Amino acid sequence: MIRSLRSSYKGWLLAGIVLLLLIAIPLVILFSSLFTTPQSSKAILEQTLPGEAFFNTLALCVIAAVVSLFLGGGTAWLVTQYQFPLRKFFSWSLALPLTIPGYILAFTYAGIFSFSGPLQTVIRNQFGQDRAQALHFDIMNLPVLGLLFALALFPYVFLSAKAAFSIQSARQIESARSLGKKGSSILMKIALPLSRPALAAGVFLVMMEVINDYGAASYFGIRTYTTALFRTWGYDIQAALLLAGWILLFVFGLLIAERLLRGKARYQNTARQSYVPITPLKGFRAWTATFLCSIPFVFGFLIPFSFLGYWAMQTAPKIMNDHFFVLTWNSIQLAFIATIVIVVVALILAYVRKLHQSFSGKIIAQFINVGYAIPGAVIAVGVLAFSGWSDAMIAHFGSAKGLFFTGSIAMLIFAYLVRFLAVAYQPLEAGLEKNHGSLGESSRSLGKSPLRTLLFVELPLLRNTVLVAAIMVFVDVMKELPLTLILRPFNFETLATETYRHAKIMESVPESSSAALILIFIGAIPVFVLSRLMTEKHGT
Amino acid sequence: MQKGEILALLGESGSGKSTLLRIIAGFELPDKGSINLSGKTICDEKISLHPEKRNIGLVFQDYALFPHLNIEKNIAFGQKKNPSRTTNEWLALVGLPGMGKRYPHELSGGQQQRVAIARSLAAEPELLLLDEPFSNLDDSIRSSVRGEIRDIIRSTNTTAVFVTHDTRDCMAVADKVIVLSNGKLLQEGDPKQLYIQPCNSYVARIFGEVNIVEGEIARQLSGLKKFGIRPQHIIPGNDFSCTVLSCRFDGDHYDLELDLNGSKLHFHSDQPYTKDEVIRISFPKDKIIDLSHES
Repeated sequence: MIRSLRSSYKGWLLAGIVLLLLIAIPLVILFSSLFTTPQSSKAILEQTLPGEAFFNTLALCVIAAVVSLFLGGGTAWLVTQYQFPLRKFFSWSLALPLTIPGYILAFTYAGIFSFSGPLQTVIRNQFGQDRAQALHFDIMNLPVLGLLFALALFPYVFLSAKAAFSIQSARQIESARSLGKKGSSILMKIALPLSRPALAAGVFLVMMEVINDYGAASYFGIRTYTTALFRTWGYDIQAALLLAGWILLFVFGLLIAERLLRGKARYQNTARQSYVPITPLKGFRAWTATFLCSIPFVFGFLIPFSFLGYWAMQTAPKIMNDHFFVLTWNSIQLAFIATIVIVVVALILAYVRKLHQSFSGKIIAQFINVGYAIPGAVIAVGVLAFSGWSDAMIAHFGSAKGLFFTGSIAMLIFAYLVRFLAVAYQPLEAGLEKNHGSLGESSRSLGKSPLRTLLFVELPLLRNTVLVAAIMVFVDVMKELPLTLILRPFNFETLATETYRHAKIMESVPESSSAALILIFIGAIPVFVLSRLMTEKHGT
Repeated sequence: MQKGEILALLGESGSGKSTLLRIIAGFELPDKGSINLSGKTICDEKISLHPEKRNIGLVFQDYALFPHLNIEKNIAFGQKKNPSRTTNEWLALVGLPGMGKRYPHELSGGQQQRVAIARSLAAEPELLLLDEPFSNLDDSIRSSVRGEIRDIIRSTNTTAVFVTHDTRDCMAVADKVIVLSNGKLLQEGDPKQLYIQPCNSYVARIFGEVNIVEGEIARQLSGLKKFGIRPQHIIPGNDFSCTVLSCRFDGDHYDLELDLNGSKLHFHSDQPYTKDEVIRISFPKDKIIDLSHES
């Protein structure tokens, strides 16, 4: 046997392990709380948390998953297989609903349908009070919330299904055509089974986001695991830790289900890229396709975006004050610092992974990728326990007393790191992997250390990937609500918490619209940057 | 190895030749054994210097030029302080004067290779390693490239080891050849010696087509239990008569398949023969490869 020298870079491996251990601490605390929670806290939980939260969470997950599978999978099939009016437009614009965070979409629809909302106002003015009363429907219930999640999150399925349909199964689709199969039977018999891994991955992301949500469920008054966690955290941190531990188990259950669904079916990677011939549709059928694609676009993006724009224009003079600018600046600064920290850590870990193509390297990758599945509120509770413990240690051993870590920006950024590391790690790992191994080795045999090789060979070649990773992390940090709500320093507002504060606490959705719009515009950056980078790649 | 010597590691794919190269370069660790370079141990069971500490240059099969750096910067990448040659001098040496500002993708395969070699040499290594240096080149330019590369390495008096599966590379470039199979050293020597006196039939075969004769018939023909003779070394003569089984035109000769008392032989002839014709041939004594230790 010949050992690879890569495993002898002890310094890098050590740095990687230390970083990982640090990141693992909050999760370890949560897991241990499953076994160490005092009886009194357990009792509190059992009183306050009947099966309802579990049932609601599961129901929301299932509704959102099934509906987004239809919306995302169906539209992806149409835009990859058929030619119809506006096909090109939909093939990128159907990703746009992703720019509206779930909680903002929920606030917006609640605002539209509320008594003081535009719909009721119009009906009241036209047909009178009684008619308006009769026509008012309450959308603040679980099925509608599940539907709204689907509208906000279906692009995850759309994007992964589109990639799978247009590239991976192209050759098989062609051969099915030549064997005389029609569109619908190709979809059921070839494309769907072949794209199962991609679809499962997309649906899994949808469910993770549903579990992660706090803002929408709390606004709709629906008890989920996450909203229960917020309530419990308010009066019994031990009980909250236990609950977070349970959620963690729930998420790992889903993760295992997804792995099983994907099974050994990693065939999505085998086929080379090839071109799917697009069947032109004519007349009624073509316009039907256009109509079907426009439904999720209109309800998931156009309507909420238009209302937010309308409200923002109405309320801007009142909202745009010093406070608003300060918190916008807060948000940007915070996200900027967090992005740098996260990208640097992710880069170090991805490089350790490249230097150690061994077992330890694989563990690193697996562990980091699991991190993204863990809801923000769960991480927040774990980090809170960690910072409380650290403060207690300082008070015990040091002379100073006080809260050094609890409620500090440092802990908030640390929590973002735990939550979003995978977002930066995955593209960086893939990018480093793509840099041909011989480039790095060349540099080393020319006398450069691994660090210099990283800085002068690997990194310059990764410029675009680093940019992509940074943008995605930046946007995710900007939008993150539950984690920020729990861990932010006292009186520290970000755009996300401000949106929530106006909508939920001040009960004015229109006044939340300015902050929401800024978040949407920032969220749109990756959609455009990514699609531009894609086309650039095709160009060369 | 002597300073300035060029050594070829010859073997089929999977023979362990590339792994040996990577061990020398420091990218893999051997289980046993040690490597000494200029009197100091760079690798044994206890210590192993990192690749960047070994002062050994490695030219990759795919050249591995840094695509984000121009040619000049590629060559300067590993240069030490007070280099013996400037980058422009290196460019001139490898026959690419004035190309310094171009980028790797603007160069042809052969040019890229010369840049890769210049880049490694510019770091002034004590030993230069080349992994399959001629395998990515078109046949049409390969033979001229062999000469150019040999001259470049020679002119810097660098000790070099290259890996190849092509005996023509060994003949044209190497001072000494080591034949590897399944990770084992089969034979070492200068190329001519290996061609004329291969130690076994495996080595005989990789250096070109060879007839292997063994058993009773071998004893009759040469007095040996087993021997080899190359088709082009068989000459028309009076010693043995045999029947022509087939005759095929092969460009610069006719390739005949002969039947000699039930043993099949290949024979390269200047003139064609017809099937079933009987001809007489001889084996020059000095061309017979003694393989009797194998039987």
